[in-house]
Amino acid sequence: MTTGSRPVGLTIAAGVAFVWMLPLLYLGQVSLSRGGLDNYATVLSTQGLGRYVLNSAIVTICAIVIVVVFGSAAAFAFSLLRFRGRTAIYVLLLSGLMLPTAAVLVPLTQIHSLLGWANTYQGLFVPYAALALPFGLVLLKNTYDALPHELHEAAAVDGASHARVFWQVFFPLTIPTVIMVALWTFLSSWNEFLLALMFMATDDMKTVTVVPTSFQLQFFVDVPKIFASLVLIQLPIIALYALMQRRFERGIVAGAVK
Amino acid sequence: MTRKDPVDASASTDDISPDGQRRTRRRASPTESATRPRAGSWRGGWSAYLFVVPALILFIGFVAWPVLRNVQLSFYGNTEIDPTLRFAGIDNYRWIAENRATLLAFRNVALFAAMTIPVQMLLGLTLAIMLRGSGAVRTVIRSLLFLPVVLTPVAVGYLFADVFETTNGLLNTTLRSLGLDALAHEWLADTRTALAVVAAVNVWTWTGFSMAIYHAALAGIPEEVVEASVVDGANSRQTAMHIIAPLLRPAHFALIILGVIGTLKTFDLVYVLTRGGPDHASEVPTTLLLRTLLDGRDGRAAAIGTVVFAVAMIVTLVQLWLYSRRRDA
Repeated sequence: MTTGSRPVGLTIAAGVAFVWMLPLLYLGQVSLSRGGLDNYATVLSTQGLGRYVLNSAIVTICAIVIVVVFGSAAAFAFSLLRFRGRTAIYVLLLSGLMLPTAAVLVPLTQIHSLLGWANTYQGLFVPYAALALPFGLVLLKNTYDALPHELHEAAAVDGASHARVFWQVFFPLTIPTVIMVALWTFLSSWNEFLLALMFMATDDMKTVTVVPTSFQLQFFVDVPKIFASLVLIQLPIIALYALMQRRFERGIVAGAVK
Repeated sequence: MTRKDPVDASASTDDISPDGQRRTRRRASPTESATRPRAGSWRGGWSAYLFVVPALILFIGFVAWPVLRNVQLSFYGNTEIDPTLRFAGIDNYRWIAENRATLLAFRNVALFAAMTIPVQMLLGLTLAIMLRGSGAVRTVIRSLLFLPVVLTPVAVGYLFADVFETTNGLLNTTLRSLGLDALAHEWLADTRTALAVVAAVNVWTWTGFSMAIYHAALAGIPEEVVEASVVDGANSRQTAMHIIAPLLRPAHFALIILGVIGTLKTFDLVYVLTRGGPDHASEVPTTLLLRTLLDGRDGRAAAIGTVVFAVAMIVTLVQLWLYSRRRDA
């Protein structure tokens, strides 16, 4: 706490950060060795990485939309409307907050074979949305709780329907939280591996997390190309993080302490 | 509204804290009991359910029902040759209790938690203290340290698989070039080091997360509290012990609970780095569950999933209990 010790601490922390970044510098350096940017061109053009990125983008965007829309609507109702079973339903949804995917993997395979959902987009984005929903709901409900409820009463006097009040009055006020929830759902869906490995077996449906495994087989010892693919599949995350790292950090911290 | 008050935002549970609002209200009218701020909410009528039903259906269909179904399946048995599920009592649980691989998987997950959580917390707290405050340099360093948290675990796994590779890996090559050939090692292929290497990669990934949580907690300690204690004649060690440490307690709890849950969920790193090997040395429940399931043993896989679920539920209940106690206090 004394002022004299702080520059020392800062220097040590900077050293630690440098060591922490070494593996990533190594990743970048190797991905450019033996062929430079051509490594990137190769994995993109001839190996169809673009297709995998597209698959991940579709799955991720659908999951985000479901979590934001279903989560916001439910948060609005839990926060502002009174109805029978309100607390019970909210607690039920909260019980999914910490659920490991392992606890539902076997039944999900049964659901998927029953519905014919193997190698389909909904086979991934529906469970992704379901698993991310409780977390989004908590963040959103806390935000609705903190909004001035007089807004609702004023709108009620005007005779506006719940749906209009929700969409026109409240939803726009929750945009900062919606962005946090969207970012978090983006991360968890884009990075998800277990279900993607389980349910996306055909080449045209694989998502980015399943790619390195198949690339490793194709390129075998061509590490630079594998590393180039590792950089490319994380590019959307790194770009978003560079743009909004404070929101990322705050969203994750806010969710954690809840 | 997120920008105005970063200190308070990160300190409390949300940037627009319902707690804070409640406290202000209470202060404004001391006679008013701690009524909930939403006393004036609407009677929802039947249409209220329309807002809840989509989320509820999604949750029941893909979380709640699968959880119950998984528990049910754990009492049934099948094999690859005979895939029909037949009631098997507690056979699958007996298998878990008597099988070397399953016991190792659960032992490893406990070891993994013990190797990662304290290290991440200690490193994170130290870094948060060193990087306390604002300023461009500190912010940039914190952002860099937090970066691994958002990266794709599978990609991180492949990167480190190459770093720890025996012949051409970065670590062994560096050691040899420094003349430290004796330290070069088959990191991922040795039963004694495989789990520790995965744990080390986990520490690399999650230390920034601990740091961010502690940073938020430290930022929430008002400077006056610290100053007041200094004025009272407390030296800096006493300040640290008696003023700051108790205020960090919620952060410790959050990190322990999230650490345990995160450890239970561990899959990507292990799968990519070692596939649970060599000889189950880095096996964790989820890698074993996947292999068991792919072997056509649905019932046994479900039993592993049920044990994982039970542990996660206990941890969640502990957290809810702590949380409600904190709210009442």
